[in-house]
Amino acid sequence: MSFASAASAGGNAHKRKRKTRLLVIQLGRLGDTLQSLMALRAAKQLYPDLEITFVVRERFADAALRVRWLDKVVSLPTSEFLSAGSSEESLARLAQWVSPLIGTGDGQPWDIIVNWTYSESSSWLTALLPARAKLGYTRRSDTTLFTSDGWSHYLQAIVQGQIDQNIHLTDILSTQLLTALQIHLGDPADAGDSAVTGKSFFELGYDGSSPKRNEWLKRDSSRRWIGIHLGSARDLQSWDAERWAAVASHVLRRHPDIGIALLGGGGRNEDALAQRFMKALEIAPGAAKSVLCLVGNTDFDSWASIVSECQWILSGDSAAIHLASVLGTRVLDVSTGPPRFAEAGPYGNGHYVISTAEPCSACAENTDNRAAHTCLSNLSPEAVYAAWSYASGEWVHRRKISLEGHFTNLGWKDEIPKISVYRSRIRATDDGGGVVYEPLIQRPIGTREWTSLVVGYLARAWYCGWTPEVGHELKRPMLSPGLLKSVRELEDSVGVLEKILREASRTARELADKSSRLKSEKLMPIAERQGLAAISARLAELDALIERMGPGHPLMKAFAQMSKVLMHNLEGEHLTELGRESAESYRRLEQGTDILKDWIRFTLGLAKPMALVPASAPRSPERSPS
Amino acid sequence: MIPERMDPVEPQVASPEVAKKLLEGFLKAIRDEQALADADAEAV
Repeated sequence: MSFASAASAGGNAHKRKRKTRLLVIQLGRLGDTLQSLMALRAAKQLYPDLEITFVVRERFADAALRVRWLDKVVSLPTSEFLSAGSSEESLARLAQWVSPLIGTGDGQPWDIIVNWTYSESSSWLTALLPARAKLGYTRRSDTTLFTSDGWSHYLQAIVQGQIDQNIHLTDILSTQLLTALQIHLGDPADAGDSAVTGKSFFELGYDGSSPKRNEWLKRDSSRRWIGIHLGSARDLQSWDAERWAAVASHVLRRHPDIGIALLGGGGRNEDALAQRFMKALEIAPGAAKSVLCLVGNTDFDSWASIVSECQWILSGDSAAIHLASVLGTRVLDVSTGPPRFAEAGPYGNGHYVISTAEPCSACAENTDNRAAHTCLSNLSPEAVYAAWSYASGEWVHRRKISLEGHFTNLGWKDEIPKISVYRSRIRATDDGGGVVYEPLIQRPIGTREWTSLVVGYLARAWYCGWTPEVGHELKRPMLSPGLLKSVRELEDSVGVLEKILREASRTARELADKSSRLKSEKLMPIAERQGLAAISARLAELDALIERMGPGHPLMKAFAQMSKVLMHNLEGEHLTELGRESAESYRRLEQGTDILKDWIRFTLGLAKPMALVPASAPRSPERSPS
Repeated sequence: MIPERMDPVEPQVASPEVAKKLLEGFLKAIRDEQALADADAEAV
């Protein structure tokens, strides 16, 4: 039964069909909250009849409360539960808080619960609440972690499994929800091309009581203002304050019409960072009005207003880049620490990302020692300033001058080999949709970037059912000898993996067939029991073989982790169901190896001399099945 | 293509025993997360 029929069943025919009731759980940080709101806005535009209740941590509830199209915002007051005198009291308070969420206001269960937190704690909450369909993490009746939808498997195995992939989280969340809505409610009435982000995303108010906002209101409004956000949730994603000060000094020296606003909520060590910034800032006499330090406890409305009124936000990986994205303010993301911008960078058109060109070995080793991170030390203030000045001058040079040319004009040509710069673009729907970060410095890619392209493609093939041509974003100059070597090595592994998956699928089917003939799963002849035990042991061996393929290549790891997640999330309760589901999962993974082989063939084909490839020939020797 | 396995089911409210386990799990997870956040803040 679809939601549409459920929604109209049982009532009088003349009654208006009730709305689809959606509960969204987002217990992550502010950045996650903002990305969820962006994804929800897209869904609400396409399905205006959605009635949305949004559950959010109390600290970050203001962002959701300023969105007019949410029907209800429920905040989770964590400290209230933890401050209770005893565990019993904590439990009682929590139960009291959960109780109204058990169903909608009229006592009906939710139509869909979407848990976009992907955390342990959120899964317990999702499990407590009844719904006709659930997306994201929940718990089985035996309280083990469970998720049933494809995109959640992908998030668990790939994104949380730290495999490189190139689909932005906002796009994953939007696609996941829209697919569910399309399945249950049908196609949206409107194609929905209107912008999701913009200055009016939030309904902001101001009561005049914010010192930081008051200071901002008194700024020199003849200047264009750039906001620099110093802090980040993770120390490694926060660039040195002195380097930011050097960037600001370049801006102020070369652009007398620009002012710099230093932003930050005062959390973590932002006050200390701001002091270091101000101390290191080189500022011309009489230019004091061109710098505002607005770091400190700031309410959401004031912070959002300031970000909205800035021309640019310059920041590391912080909530500020998501807030700017939501509000349509352009972003320069100084990406340090483990690279995450492909899935959590600024969302929209025309944002820039800068990072070091060489991979940081300290990031790969996951060490917290800042001094060891070349992603921080090899990124110079000159490079960051030059990338920003190129980006901000787009309306003048219209990108007819290359980034390299711009750096050369500034006398910083030597910086180019040390950095990578990307510009964000929202692809057209018939080109795959979603945000893509296009490199502005063309150079060969490595195994990680290639993996990222292939994994993103696999996800589209698995969960969207439509993909662009194999390799459509891979060009010949992007190939390097190192990449080709790793692709050739992968070719052998894929063949082995394919055979293992085929055998696993066959064995799981055998398990399903044999168990389906049993009268009871508990009482059976010894020979039958031994036969089933042998098949199960064979499956366990094959699973172990799949896992052993993992360490060879990141794509083998992707398949191994997907296999593990799919096997963990089987839904059946009986041997026959489990066997059938396993067989189907292995078969789909095997189909994935076909796609992988297409990519390998295409990549190696691309490396062949151009004269051997007629201009009219199809780009891919063999297309993946659609 | 792996289809979204989201066939709507008849929603069930957890039994009191399971609900209690889930609530306890939720509370413990909130506590653990808070402890991690506190440790993280102290490290800075």
